[in-house]
Amino acid sequence: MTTSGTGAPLCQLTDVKKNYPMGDMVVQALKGVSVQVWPGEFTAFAGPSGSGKSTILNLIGCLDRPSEGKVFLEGRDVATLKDAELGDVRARRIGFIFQSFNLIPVLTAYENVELALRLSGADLRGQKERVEEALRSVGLSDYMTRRPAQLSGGQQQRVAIARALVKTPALIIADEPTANLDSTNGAAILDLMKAMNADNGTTFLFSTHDPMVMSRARRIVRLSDGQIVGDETPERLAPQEAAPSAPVGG
Amino acid sequence: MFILALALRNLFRNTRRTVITSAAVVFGLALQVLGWGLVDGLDDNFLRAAATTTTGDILLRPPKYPTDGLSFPLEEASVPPALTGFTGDTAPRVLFSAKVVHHADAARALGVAYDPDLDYRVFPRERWRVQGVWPDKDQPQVAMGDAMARLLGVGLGDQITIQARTVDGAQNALAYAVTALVHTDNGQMDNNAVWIRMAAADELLQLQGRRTHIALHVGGLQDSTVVRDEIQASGMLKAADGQEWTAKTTREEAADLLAINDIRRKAILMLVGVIMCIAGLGIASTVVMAAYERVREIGTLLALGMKRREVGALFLVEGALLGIGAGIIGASLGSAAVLYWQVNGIVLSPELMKAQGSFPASAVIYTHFNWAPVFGSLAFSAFIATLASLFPAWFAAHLNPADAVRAD
Ligand SMILES: Nc1ncnc2c1ncn2[C@@H]1O[C@H](COP(=O)(O)OP(=O)(O)OP(=O)(O)O)[C@@H](O)[C@H]1O
Ligand SMILES: [Mg+2]
Repeated sequence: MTTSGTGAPLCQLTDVKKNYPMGDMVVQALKGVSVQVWPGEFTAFAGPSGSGKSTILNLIGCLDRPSEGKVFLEGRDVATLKDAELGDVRARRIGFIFQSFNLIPVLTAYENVELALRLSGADLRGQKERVEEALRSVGLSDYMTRRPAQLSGGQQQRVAIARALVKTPALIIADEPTANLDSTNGAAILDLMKAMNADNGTTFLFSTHDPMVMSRARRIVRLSDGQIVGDETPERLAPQEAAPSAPVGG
Repeated sequence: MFILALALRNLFRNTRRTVITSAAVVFGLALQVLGWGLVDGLDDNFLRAAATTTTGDILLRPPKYPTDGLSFPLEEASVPPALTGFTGDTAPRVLFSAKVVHHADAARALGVAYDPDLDYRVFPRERWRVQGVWPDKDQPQVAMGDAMARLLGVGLGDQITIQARTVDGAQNALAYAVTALVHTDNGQMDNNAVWIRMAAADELLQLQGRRTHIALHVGGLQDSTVVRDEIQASGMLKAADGQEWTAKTTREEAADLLAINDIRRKAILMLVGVIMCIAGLGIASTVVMAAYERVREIGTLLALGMKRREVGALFLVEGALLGIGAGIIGASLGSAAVLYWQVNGIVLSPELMKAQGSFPASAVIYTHFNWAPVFGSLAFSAFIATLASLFPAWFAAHLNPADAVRAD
C-alpha cells in the first residue's frame, strides 16, 4: 500500500463493494476494496478483463455509487450525494477520457472542449482563450474547426484530453484510453497525459491491460476478481516521485 | 442556449430521416391552412352571392312565406310594410316560379320582378351586366342569366315567352324581348333567373300591389343584426293589412350553407388531426431512435455534468423544433396558396357550376386568409411534436451515466 507523508488524500475508498444484479444472481464486481489516491498521482489500475477496473474508476469518477463502503472525494462522501450533486462534482472536479473517445459528433473540436468548460460553470470571460490553450497544449491548434469524424483516432483522443483538461479538474479518469489506438498513437497519448501530469500536477487515474501503458505509470494498482491484489511503485522510480503528494522537485 | 444549438445540429444529423418525418407535418399543416382558407372563402362566397343577388343586408318576407329559399309560392305574396322611418335603401321584389320558352326549348326559371328605381340601390346590377341594357323602360323586356341564355340558345334581342301562374292561380303567358344578359355572383341565378320590371310583372302575375320580398341595404358601417333588431322593435314591419313581416340578416339567410361549411371545417380538422397523429408517431419514432442511437453520447453529456433535466430538455427541444420547423414550412405553403387564390380566385369549371345547378355561389371562389388557423395549427404541431418527444426525453434523462458512457 502506497502511503503518503503529508496532506489529505484526493480520494479514499474504504471497504467498497459494488454489486450488479443480473437476473436472480448478483455479480460482485468489487468485493471490499480500500485504496487511497493522492494529488498528483499518475496511477494505472491493471488486471484481467472483468476484474473491476472500470467499476472502480466509475466510483471514483462519481458516475456511480458503491453498494457498500465509502468513497471520499476531496473529503466528501460521494455515496451520500444526490444525482444532481454528483453531476456537479463531475462537471467541476473530474475530467474523463474514454476508450471510444466519446466526442459529441455534431460539435467541432473547439465546441467539444468549450461544452465541457461551460458545463463546469466556469467564468464566461476568458473561455475562448482557455479552450484554445487546451487544444494548443494537445497539438491541435490547426484542427479546432474539425468535427470528430474528420479527425483520426489519435486526434480525437487528444481532443478528449483537451476537453478533460480545460476545466482544470482535480482528477482525470481514463478508462482504457489507448485500447482503440495503435501502439504508436497509444504511446503518444500516454506521453501527453504524463506531460500534463508533470507540468500541471493534474492527477491521472487510468485502467489498462497494456504493458506499454503500465510501464509509464508511476503506481500500479492490480485488481483481480474484484479485489486489490497488488499496489506497486515500479522500482525505476525514485521513492519521493512515487508518492508525489509532495510536489515533484518542490 | 447551447441546448437549442445542440438540438438544431442534431436535427440535421440524419437529414433524410428528419425530412421524411417532417413531410407529414408539412402536409398536415398545409392542408389545414389551405382547407381553412378555402372554407372561409366559401363562407364569403355564399354571403356575397346571397347579399348581392337576393338578400341585400336584411331580407324581409311576408309572415307565412317559406324561408328555405327553395320554393316561391306567389299565393303568400302580401302587401308590404311602408318601412317609414327606415333610413337605408329598400328593394321590393316578387320572386316567382316560371317557365321560359324559346322556340322549341323550354326551361324552368326563377322570375325576379324588380323596381327599376330602387333595385340598383341595393344590388350591384351594373356589375352583373355582361351584354345589353337593363330592361328598365316601359316595354315588354327582360334580362336573363347568361348560363340560362346559353342553355336555351337565347341571344340579345331574342323573343321569349314566360309562362307563370297569377296570384290567383290562373295560367298566363306573355312574350318579351331579352335586352340584357347578366352574370351575377350567384351561379344559381345565372342558371335560371329572368329579371322583369315590376310593372311588367304586374301584368303577368296580377300582383295588385303585393310583394314577396324586400331587400334592405343598411348602409354605412352599421351592423345589420343591430339594424334588424331595431326594425323589428320599432314595429316598422307591420303592413297596412296588419300582417307583421319577418326580417333576417344575410348571415341568417345563409345559415344552412354556412352550417355545411362548419361541417367541412370539422371534416378538415378531423383529417388534419389524423394526419398529425401519424406525424406525431413519426416524430416519436424519430426521436426515440435518436435517443437509442445516442446512448453513449447522452452518457458523455451526463459525465460532463449536464443535468438530467437538461438532457431531457435536449430531446424535447429536438422534437419541438422538428414540429415547429416543419409546421412553419407547412403553414407557409398553405398560406402562400391561400394568399394566391385570395387574389386570383379559384375558377370553378362551367360543368361543375351546371352540375351544382342550385348552388347559390359564384363560379370564382376567393380563398380567405386568416391568421387563426396558421397560429392554431403551428401551436398544435409544436404540441404534438413535444408530446411525441416526452418518452425519448424521459428515457434519455434516466440513463445511468456509468453504463451509458460505454454503450456501443
Ligand atoms: N452494468 C453492469 N451490470 C452487470 N454487471 C456488470 C456491469 N458492469 C460491470 N459488470 C460486471 O462486473 C464485473 C467487473 O466489470 P468491470 O467492467 O469493472 O471489469 P473491467 O476490469 O473493467 O473489465 P474489462 O477489462 O473487460 O473492461 C464484470 O464481471 C462485469 O461483468
Ligand atoms: Mg473496463
